[in-house]
Amino acid sequence: MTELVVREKVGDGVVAEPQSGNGAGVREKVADGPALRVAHRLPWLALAVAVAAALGLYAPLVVGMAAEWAEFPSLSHGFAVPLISAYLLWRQRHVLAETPLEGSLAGLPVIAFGLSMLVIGSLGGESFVARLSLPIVLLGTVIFLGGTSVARHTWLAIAYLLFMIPLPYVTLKVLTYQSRLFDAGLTAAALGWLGVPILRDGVLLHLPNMTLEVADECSSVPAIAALLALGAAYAQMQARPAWSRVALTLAAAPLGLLSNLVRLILTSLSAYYFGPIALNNVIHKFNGTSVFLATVLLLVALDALLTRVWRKAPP
Amino acid sequence: MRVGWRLGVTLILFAGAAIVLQMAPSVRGAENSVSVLAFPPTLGAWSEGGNVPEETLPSDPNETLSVRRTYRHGRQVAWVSVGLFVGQNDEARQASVNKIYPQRGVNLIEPVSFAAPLGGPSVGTTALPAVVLHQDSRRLLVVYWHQMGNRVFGNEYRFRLALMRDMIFARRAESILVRIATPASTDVEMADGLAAAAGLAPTVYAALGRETVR
Repeated sequence: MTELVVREKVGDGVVAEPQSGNGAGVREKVADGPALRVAHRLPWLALAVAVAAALGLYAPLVVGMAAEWAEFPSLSHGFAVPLISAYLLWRQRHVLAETPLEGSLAGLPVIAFGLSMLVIGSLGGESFVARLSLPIVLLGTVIFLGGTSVARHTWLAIAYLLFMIPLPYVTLKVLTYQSRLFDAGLTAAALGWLGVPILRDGVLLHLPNMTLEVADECSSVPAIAALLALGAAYAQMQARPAWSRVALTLAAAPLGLLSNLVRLILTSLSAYYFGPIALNNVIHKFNGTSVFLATVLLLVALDALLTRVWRKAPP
Repeated sequence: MRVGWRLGVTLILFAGAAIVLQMAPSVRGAENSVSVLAFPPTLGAWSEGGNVPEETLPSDPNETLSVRRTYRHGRQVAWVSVGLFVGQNDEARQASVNKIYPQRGVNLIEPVSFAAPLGGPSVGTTALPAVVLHQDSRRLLVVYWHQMGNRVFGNEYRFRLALMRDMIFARRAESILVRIATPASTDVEMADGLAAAAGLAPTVYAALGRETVR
């Protein structure tokens, strides 16, 4: 069987040379330009159809997730995640245009695994498991229809979708409580160091003039996914070494916790010096926004530091 | 055509998953209506003595029905709540972990080790989750577990796994959340509370097991 390989284009036609067989060196006209373009686009079209079908399959889950993003402020970053993911994909458009689509069978078990998670999670009433399967199914689809070389350029955009999935409540609840205890302990230690008389009792901070509670809303744990998503998006914004990207992504969570701690200390100090009126200040009332902004500033500072290190390092 | 073949396989897999999800029989309600309401007013030497204060054991908005009673034995008091949760394939109807004990105004939630001979003294003891809640000067011991038929789950993740298994293979999604609370403000009250909970737990388990045997 003769397999044709495109060698050169002449006008609207394509001249091709048989790869095997006895006709080596014989040039023949095999296809028109538009036909080739269609042939070139067909695998992309197939991939697009499959991705659209996957999104259709997951539409009810995505709608449910969107309702949660709208209901809980700590999850509202979920709306931005698909857009950022689309942006990350769009940034790869030139590389992808040059990448040959050579589907790999390795994608098939990935799709099967993802769909199993979807079925188990949906029938078992565990939406976290079902939701987690969306990026897995998308990745499997890309590998199966596009190949590993396409997946290499798209996995980040697909993986970014993980940030839109709310953590299971059982896990979040435990982490939040531990974070409250941790925050209360460090705030009490910092206030003591600053000369403020304070007695800590669990998550309560007893000041001479009032008692403060480090409540669930004061914990930055519910916003940890948002902060990590922020760090990951920030790290992708410009060309930088991979280690710098990883560092910026991972640093977002501890920087967010640090920002929250500073906010708690400032609020407690204000409460001690100015009384209950301090609890109505902007930093305390808009805790999510203030922690988010402080984290962005810390990320920018860390980025500047890493850039200096990177530029000083020998090539 | 390789691309067409691959697309076809992908779409068949997606369609298969959609069909499985659509064709799955709906989760059944509580068959043989679990007789939570028949929960006995007398538990061994303990007899009923009124309702349960909301600030001691908050009611869960997701529960279908519950029995919440104060039990007394001499000068000792214990509060018992038995909540039935059905249709938990809908997450809005699952037992919510934040409603097991009150958390507002709680300074500290301190886990304590607790075990009770649920299957009788000859079977050995079963470890159950227990916490001491510090609310200002007040201390409250709360022991709790999830029960599905005769199966008892103290660990939240194991309970969720068992519930998933029940939902997938049996299309049932019901469980009972049992909570036993006692005062624990002093060391003596704490010791009495642990003993009371250890005595009450097997009786409650047996009463519910009898009513909910599958």
